[in-house]
Amino acid sequence: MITQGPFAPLGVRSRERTVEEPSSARLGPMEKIYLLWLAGGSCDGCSVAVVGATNPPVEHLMQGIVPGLPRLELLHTALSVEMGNEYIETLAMAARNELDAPFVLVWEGSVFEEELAGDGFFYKLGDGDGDNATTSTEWLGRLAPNAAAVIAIGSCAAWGGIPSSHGNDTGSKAVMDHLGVDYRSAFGVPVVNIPGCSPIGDNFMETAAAVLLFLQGLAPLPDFDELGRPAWLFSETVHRHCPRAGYYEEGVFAEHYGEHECLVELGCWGPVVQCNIAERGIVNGTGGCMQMGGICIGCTMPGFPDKFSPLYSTPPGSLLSSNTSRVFGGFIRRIRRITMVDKNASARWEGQDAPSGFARYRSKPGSGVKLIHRAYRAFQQSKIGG
Amino acid sequence: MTPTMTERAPRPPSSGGKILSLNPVTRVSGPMGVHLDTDGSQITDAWVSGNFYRGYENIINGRDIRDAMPIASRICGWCGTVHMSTSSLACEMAWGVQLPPMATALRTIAQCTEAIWIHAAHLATRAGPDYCAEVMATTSPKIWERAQRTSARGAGTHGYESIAEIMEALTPVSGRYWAQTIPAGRRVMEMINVMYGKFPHPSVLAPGAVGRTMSWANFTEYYTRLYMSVDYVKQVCALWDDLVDFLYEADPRFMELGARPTNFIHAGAWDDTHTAYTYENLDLVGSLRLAKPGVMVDGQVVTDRLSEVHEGIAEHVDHSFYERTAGSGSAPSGSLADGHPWFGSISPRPSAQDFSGRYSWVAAPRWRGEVLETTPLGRLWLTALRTDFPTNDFIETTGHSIKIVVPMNNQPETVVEWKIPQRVNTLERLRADAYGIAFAGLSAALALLKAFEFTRTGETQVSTPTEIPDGPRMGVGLYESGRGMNVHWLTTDNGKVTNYQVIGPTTWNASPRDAEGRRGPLEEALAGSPIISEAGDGPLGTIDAARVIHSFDPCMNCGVH
Repeated sequence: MITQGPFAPLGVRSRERTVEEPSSARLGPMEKIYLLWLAGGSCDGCSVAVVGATNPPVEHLMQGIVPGLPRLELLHTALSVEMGNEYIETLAMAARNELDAPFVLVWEGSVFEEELAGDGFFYKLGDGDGDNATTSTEWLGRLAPNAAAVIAIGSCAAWGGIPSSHGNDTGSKAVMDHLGVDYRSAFGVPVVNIPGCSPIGDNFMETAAAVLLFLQGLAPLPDFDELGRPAWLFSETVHRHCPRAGYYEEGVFAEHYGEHECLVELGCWGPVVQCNIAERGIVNGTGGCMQMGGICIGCTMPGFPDKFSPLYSTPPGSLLSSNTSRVFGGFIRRIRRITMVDKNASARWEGQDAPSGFARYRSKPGSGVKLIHRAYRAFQQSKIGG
Repeated sequence: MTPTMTERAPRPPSSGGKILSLNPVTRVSGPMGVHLDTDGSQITDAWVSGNFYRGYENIINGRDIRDAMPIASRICGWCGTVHMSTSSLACEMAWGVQLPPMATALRTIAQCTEAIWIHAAHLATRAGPDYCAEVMATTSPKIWERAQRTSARGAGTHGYESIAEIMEALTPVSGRYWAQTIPAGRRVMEMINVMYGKFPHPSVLAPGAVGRTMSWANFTEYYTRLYMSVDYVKQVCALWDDLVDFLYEADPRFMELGARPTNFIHAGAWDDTHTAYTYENLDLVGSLRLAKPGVMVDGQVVTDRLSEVHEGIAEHVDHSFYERTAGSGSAPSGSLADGHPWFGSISPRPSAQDFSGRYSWVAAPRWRGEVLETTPLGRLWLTALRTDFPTNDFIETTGHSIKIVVPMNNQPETVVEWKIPQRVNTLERLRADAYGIAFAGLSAALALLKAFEFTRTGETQVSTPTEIPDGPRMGVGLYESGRGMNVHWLTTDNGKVTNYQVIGPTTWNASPRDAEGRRGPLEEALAGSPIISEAGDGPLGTIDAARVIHSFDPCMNCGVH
């Protein structure tokens, strides 16, 4: 029978308590940690997003080769080798506090209100042998008190998301809603939320690594905002770092998909949405929303999707804000253009064609514009020497 | 120790053998349970259950039509782009809008790329571990012993000298093939991001648009990653050929493992860029697709017309936790089967699992009463039979095989040939997954060349301006995910969704019994399968059932929704 060896990171697991040889270069008390990845109303998109993470990549954590971080033993229905009762037994041991290392519970998807299913179920996990739980919601209740930390990944787990939106039959809600405001993990941490639909894999990885370093005693507990989001990732609006934000400032808006200007009038909610995808992309810096041509539909926000619906329609607030920037930004854009034309000609070409073989580029301003340039330069040069 | 089973949970009736419960089945997407009746030498019966329900159809119903695409995408995080593309086809038909050629080319590139992701991730992380060294040594010591002294024919391509080395490479986390596939898969995600903005749920799709702001960066970023992947494709085909052929030789019972009749249904995918996707045009659209549509029953092609594939679909819920409400309406032309999903709807009725009654959240779609499978194997099979494949530099169909030229990179140009197999079984489904990577990869290359051509001719428009249509409208999106046929139906009235219905690939494959009591495809494949493992009651005693289940790459997210 298999007990150890090549399967260890993904099962089939030893049920014996083993004392591992401490490595001499080890940082912190934990050699390994269990990552119990459970789901409710999920699409697995957050799991897939985490496979896309690169800082560090998930396989390095499972191989145990990231300095300072414990080796991950992962329990996940999409990856684990163990099945059926073998799989359930690890959960049961965690619920009884019998695992040979601490565990972090990562929850993906909404939490179902199983009472609404009567004799049936919305998510069945295990046959309920012995006193084991049979629904994933029940497992959450049993495991959360023993977990070193509970991390809600994705907007469904963090806020309820699409499964909890208008028209749902399942009474779906967020992990926080289910566990309540007083919940603290065994290590004293409230529910950590990494929103996004799907989230950026590296947002999860970076936060999980920070929490693990904290559990190792190597780093402080990172900053979280009032809703349990990693503060350094979610405190800015996505618009502030959007590569198209400059178009907004100058009052230029795309009218059709595929155009390169600001997307607000096509339905982009970026100016009011807390998200960092504009800086980070989605995998290895590739992809994203506005940088690629897609509107922000608010998928990181607790109000998603109902408070952003109908999607692809212009946010009402932009009537005021984008029209204001059309007027003021339009004026600024025009006077910037005058300066830009001037800066595009070297001093040698003053009043003549640029020596480019591609096209005729002539910098010969009219007398009014010439006056503006002269005044502008005089003012600029008055600053020489401070 | 494996805990002993108690009788607390409901179990199906046994015909005298032993009932085994696998809940959860792992290495599938979403929660799935399987009950098996066995007599020690074979699996005699099986019940497959989809073990969760989120209610996407009811969530989309009643909303603004513009909400449909982004919400439908969230049905599945493994293949979210295909759900959004399929939903957008349904919207395009309902709105009467045609995508510009460049947008259709981008869609094909993105969807081929997602198919690569599904095939590659399935083989390495979900199916592959069933054949890894530790599993083989524990469950089939004789086969393992033989693997150690059998040299691998494809060693020159994949680099593994013996079959045993291949099996070691299949080991999760530490195995070379497993560990190589994760970063390779990540690169494939980047390729999808370059075209569709965001994976798994695209950011740039909109009604009438693949709204990617185009630049040369798209193409250079994409084809750089594509050419860096071609050696991986050659290696994976060679690896699975060696493994599959070896297992047949080592134990002929593998031929019967997961076997079922040659019954397939496919919608086909990867469209001609200048053919409008309308209901009237369905047959033309289907005939021009790179992956061909059709229905096969007992090895015969019953139809290759997309309209007929569509009209014959019916959804049974007699053994599922739903109640069916018949709706009224008729298709623009042709007659729809009884129980066709376009106008009727199904509502959740959760109840205790009862294996002679309702036991699954998966509904049971059938086509003109036939129990049909939809997998990469069926897709390649139907495509290989067609001799009207457009002439091109990479892919040729011969009527009995598909020849694919995989270009040079560090390894020389290689022609890989997938041949129609003798049987539909577990190992052939996996082999088709491997060749599916080559087929999808070079289909992506063909679409990329099209996109280059449009850049030269100035057809760079990626969106068609649209207005929300008045009055009642209807649409159906018929397409393929990596796993099989994906269909979304939509009816709307004055811009509001009045009915949204989805049948994903796993809805077919993992369906429970239907109104007539016929088993679903996966249940059929399990029943009658030999038990090859010698592990008895140990934790790997159900490995043969796992192999059969994994060969369908089940996804409960798509299957139930």
